[in-house]
Amino acid sequence: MARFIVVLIGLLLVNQQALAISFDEARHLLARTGFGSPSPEEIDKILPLSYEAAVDQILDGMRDKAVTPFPNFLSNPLERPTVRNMDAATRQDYQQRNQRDRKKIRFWWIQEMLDTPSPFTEHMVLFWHNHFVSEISKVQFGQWIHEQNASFRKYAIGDFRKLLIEVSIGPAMMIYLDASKNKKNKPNENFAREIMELFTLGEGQGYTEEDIRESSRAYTGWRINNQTSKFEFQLGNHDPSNKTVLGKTGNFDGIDVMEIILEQPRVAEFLAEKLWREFVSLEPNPSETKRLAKIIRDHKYNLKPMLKAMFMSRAFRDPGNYGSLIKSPVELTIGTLRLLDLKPPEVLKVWWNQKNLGQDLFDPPDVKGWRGGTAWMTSTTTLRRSQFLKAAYNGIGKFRKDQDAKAMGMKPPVFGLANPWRLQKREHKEPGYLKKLMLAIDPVMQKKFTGKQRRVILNLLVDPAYQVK
Amino acid sequence: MKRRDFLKYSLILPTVTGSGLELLTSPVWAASGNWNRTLVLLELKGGNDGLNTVVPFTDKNYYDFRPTLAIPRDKVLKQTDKLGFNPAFAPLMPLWETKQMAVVLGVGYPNPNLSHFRGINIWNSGSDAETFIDSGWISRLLRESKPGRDFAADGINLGHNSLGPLGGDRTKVVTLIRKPEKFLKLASRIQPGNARMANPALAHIVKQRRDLRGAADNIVAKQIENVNVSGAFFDTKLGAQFETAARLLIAGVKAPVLKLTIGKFDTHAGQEPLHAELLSDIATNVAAFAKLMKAKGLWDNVTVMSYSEFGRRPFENNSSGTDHGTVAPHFLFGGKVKGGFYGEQSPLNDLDNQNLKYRVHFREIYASVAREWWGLNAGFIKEKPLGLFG
Repeated sequence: MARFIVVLIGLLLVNQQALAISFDEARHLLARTGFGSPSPEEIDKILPLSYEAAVDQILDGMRDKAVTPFPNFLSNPLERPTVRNMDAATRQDYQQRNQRDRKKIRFWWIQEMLDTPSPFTEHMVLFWHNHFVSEISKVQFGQWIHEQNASFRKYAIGDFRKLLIEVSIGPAMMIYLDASKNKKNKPNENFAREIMELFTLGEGQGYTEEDIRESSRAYTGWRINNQTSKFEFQLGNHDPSNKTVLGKTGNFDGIDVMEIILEQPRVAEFLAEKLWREFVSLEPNPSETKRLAKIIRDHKYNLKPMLKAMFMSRAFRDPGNYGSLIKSPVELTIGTLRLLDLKPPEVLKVWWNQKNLGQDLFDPPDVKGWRGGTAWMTSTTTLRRSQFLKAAYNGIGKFRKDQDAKAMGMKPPVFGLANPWRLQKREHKEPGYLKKLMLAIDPVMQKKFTGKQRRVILNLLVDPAYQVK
Repeated sequence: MKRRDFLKYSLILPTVTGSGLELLTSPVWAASGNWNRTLVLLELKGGNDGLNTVVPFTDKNYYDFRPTLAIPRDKVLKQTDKLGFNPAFAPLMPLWETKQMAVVLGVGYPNPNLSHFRGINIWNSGSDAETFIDSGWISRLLRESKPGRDFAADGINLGHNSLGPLGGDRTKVVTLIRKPEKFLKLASRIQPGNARMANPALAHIVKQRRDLRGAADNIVAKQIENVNVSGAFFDTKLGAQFETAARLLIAGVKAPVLKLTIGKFDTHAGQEPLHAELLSDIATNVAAFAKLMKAKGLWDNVTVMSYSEFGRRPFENNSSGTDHGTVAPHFLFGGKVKGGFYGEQSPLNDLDNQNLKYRVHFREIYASVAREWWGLNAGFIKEKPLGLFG
């Protein structure tokens, strides 16, 4: 009898796996892996699949290159060594060009987020940007930041070991963490500290101040070559004496030290915890993150199998977990514009909103990056989020053309125009569709949330429940 | 659950472990704080270089350790036979000379942490280096006693920064940046909604809306638009924050804490002239703020207090900057502040792993603010007050 029940349960589970994904599961999976509010079309695409096949499709759909054309930068990092000798006018021109490049790279990335067929790719790129933080104001060159951003995309769910090394020796990081200023006899500890604290082990986890001091000597001799603006190793500036790092002693260089760090089992745990907080919940479950960390180690830092296991996990799929994470400013803006099918004529306005909501891409607050979670919602950003949503809603509002707005003496909607019928016709066919499409959980306010009036869309957008994913 | 236990024990602990003598010397348990007194917190974000702020101008080590960064002896604003201020502090000298500026020397704590994130977390929460506490130290004080209903909020954040000492889910904080009028007008129209506490994310969002609406209604009623102090402050981000702070206080808006932030103190490379500019920004604006508060008869009810996640290394690095360190001096300004030096300069010939050893625990300053300024006795602060107020 007992065996019969076991077999029966087994059959049910197998059946469950083969079943097509439910609407709510599809929505949740896309919301969490993408930008918080998937469009009806995105959901349609995975509805015929089983849950596992949907996860596979998202993971296999990663793009290693952006669809948005490479920005034309005005400056070249090769000009950097000549700054010292520039006269005032030349220097001013140089600085202005750099500043414009810094805007271009931001707009380029925002455009990519709006247009990408794989939101999960850009979500992971953003995850790495907030992991390997570089602030563009210090790095100066849009090109260098762009190079780093390309590394994030290339290794988004791939080999973390390669990602760590490529990003560390990239000029953006070298400048940001002063690695290029790290000389024999006068080591600069900034990079040595952050690599352990922020990139691999986590603050205070399994390393000491002594490890930082010792390893900073290993990174001496790293430079950016003035002729190529690429990484080079200068033996003359390197401290060749023995260093003791994490219990190992030898004449290590920087890459040796990174390899020693990567041998620590803690690294995979740190990554699993961080990815859990990003995609599942703010409170990592230790037995789950240990299990996922082992998958990372078993696959030698290839992250894809671990991500699949995480998205397949009970904790991720649990409906009780729906709506438990607050959308970031990037998710709120990009997700909403994609949901409403708005194509902003000026990306500047999207950037400006993200910045005002506390997430200026390429300019995180400090080396630790954006804190996220409840920190996104302060009294100030609460209000600005509503303002953004109302402005976006105007794009599916009373005007069909910019001229209509102008004729009424009003400004055309800042995020462009889209036809609201695209959403309304779904509600028309299936009353209640918009509510289950737009909200992860029940609304908070007492308003009209069903019906094909345009107002219903606004009510859903400005409800506090729209802020969570 | 754990945090609640911790709280419970921190309340019990002094009576369990404290000797009779300690009970006698501590002031009587205060039932409610004097929240009408305002603390203006000034966070120096990035880790201020203490040795170039209060300069040991007769110490040979100082000049040896800092071949390019040391402040030349003849430039130092000398106050004792050993210590003087960075010349950028000149605008503060009238406050110093009239004993309205306290300088606490050698501030730090045992087993210092040199990470920005962890360092500020320790200062924000008032925890030991080994303990992790999410709530800020002021939020923890507020559990002992809450301000009355006529207060706009527990704290008003005026800088682009985290809530720091005001952090924690139960503290009522509003952030007011840039044009406060426009913001308040919109905020007083928001409908908060009812939170279902089962979802912490949503509960947090609804709480923000509720606090925002409450604070907005309160501040709007005080008509801050009628208070104009433009031109009084430096045209910097910090100046704008001081301007809003002054306007709120003059209008009679009640909040125990106003939080201001000035950034860019993480001077790993090319420290000068940036560091001097930052100190000058502070000095000019604090002096202007004090002048305005005095003119309005509010200076006895306001204290400005600086803090930072750590100090910097006594040795300059090869990039004409300084790396993360431990100890730094901190500053208090106010009509009730008893001016002068407190604590002791950490000596340069007695270092711990190249870093200064602390002389005053930072919680001694918190103890002074809690007991002497607000009249609160908080269980989690075991350090004795410094006698900074009179």
